[in-house]
Amino acid sequence: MSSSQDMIIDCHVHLSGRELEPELVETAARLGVDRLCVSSVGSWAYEPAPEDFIAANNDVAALQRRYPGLVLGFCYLSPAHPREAAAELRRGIEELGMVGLKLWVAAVANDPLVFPLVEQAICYHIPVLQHAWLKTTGNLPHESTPAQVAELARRYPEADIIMAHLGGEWRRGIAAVRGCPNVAVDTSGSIMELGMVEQAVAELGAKRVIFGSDAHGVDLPAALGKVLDAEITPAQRRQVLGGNMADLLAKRSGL
Amino acid sequence: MTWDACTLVGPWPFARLRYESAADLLRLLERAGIARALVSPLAGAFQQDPGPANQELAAQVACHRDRLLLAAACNPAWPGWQRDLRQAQEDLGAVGLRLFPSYHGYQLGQAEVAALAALAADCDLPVFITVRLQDERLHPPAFLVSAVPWEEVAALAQAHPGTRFVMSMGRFAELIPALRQTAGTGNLYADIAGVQGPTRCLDRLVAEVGADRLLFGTELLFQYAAAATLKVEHSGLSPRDRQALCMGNLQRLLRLPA
Repeated sequence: MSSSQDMIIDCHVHLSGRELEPELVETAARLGVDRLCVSSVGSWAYEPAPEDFIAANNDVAALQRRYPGLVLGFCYLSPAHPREAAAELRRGIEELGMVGLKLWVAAVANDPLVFPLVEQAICYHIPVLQHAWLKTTGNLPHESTPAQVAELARRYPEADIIMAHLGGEWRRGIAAVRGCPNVAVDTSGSIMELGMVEQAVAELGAKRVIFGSDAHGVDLPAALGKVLDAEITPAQRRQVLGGNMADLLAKRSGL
Repeated sequence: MTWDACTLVGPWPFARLRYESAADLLRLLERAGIARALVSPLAGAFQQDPGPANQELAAQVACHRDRLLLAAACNPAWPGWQRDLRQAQEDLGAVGLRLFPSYHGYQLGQAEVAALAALAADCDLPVFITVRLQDERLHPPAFLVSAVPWEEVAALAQAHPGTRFVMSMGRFAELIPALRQTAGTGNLYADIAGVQGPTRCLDRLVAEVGADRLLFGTELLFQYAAAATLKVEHSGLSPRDRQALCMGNLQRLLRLPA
């Protein structure tokens, strides 16, 4: 087994329905991807009810059991249900063995509803994977912008936040979190624009850039291609591909 | 061997691109193991009269015709486009035409486009229809450009069965219905430069529409080449389908020897 610093860890993977597709597992093995950080957003409802996110987390827990060592679960919640979300995060980390918190579009990142969950994540020493985009075509009602992620990060400098998709419009996303050392960006998503990884590494430092795919929606080889093609040093590439995520995960339990 | 059906060079008006020149493109193609590429001027999308951009790019690629083939930007809404088209073929050596309908502000159902399709057939030039250059979500707020609907592309191809068309930078969900709808005429191809998912997207595409009208494409210098090359490398395509996708189909489309 590779040392944790040489691993390839995909920090942003979703299910296809209730399953990880066998083709994805096979492709990950072929590409040398050692770990998949998996979250389920259930039926992709923007404002899931507690029973929805509990069921989604049960699906991920089942995959952790089926693929031990490969699948690392991220606990998905809706901050709009504070009591149930807090209980589910506790169950996810303490009982299901999950390693991170996933927040999507049920509440914007700087909504006070999010704060208790981030405080809980800080206590557990787990990273918060926060979806972010600022779309010219219009955001979803509670979809976080990079600026809102930055505001959350400034409020909780001890939180380890991963801003997904480099914030979508990556030049703006990188600029928005430049002054927030506790925010890393993940490279996930369907945007393959040449230079995005290099610019993130140049402006944020390699320590704050983390490989992610957004599979099953994005083809894992294409997503990995962004990082493999980027003109960064071998040491920086190792950090991006897995070293940084390994460091974040080691804060709680090691790999 | 791999040929790339979709590359563009030149400046992007809204942000500094990491690379902009034909020399950069040649280096990145070499690094990606791509032997040959069809290239168009990015400025051709933003200048209503794309003639000067074509001339500038033709001068850059003149010494590299074994590697770079010109797909001249063409705007059928610009007066005199017929003369420009012929000059692009005869004087600049263009082997294809690239349209930017949303950027030049016309729809594919307009009479000018029908005239262009007819002339392209006379000149034996394939027509590349740029469905989008960039994900619409990333467009500058004051310059949101809609994607060309796949229905318009398919309808154009069906209306002109003697012309070869390529749907360029379409997404997975757009390619499948467009290629299905034109199965009868068989004159619509599509590049894979805009297809980034889902898992094993190329296998799924081939299962749905076959491999014979799919073209390898990167959208260099706008996108990472490895996003496309790894998609192919880690697909489950048969050697026959892989060869067709990576080179054979484009070679046939351009009527070029290997």
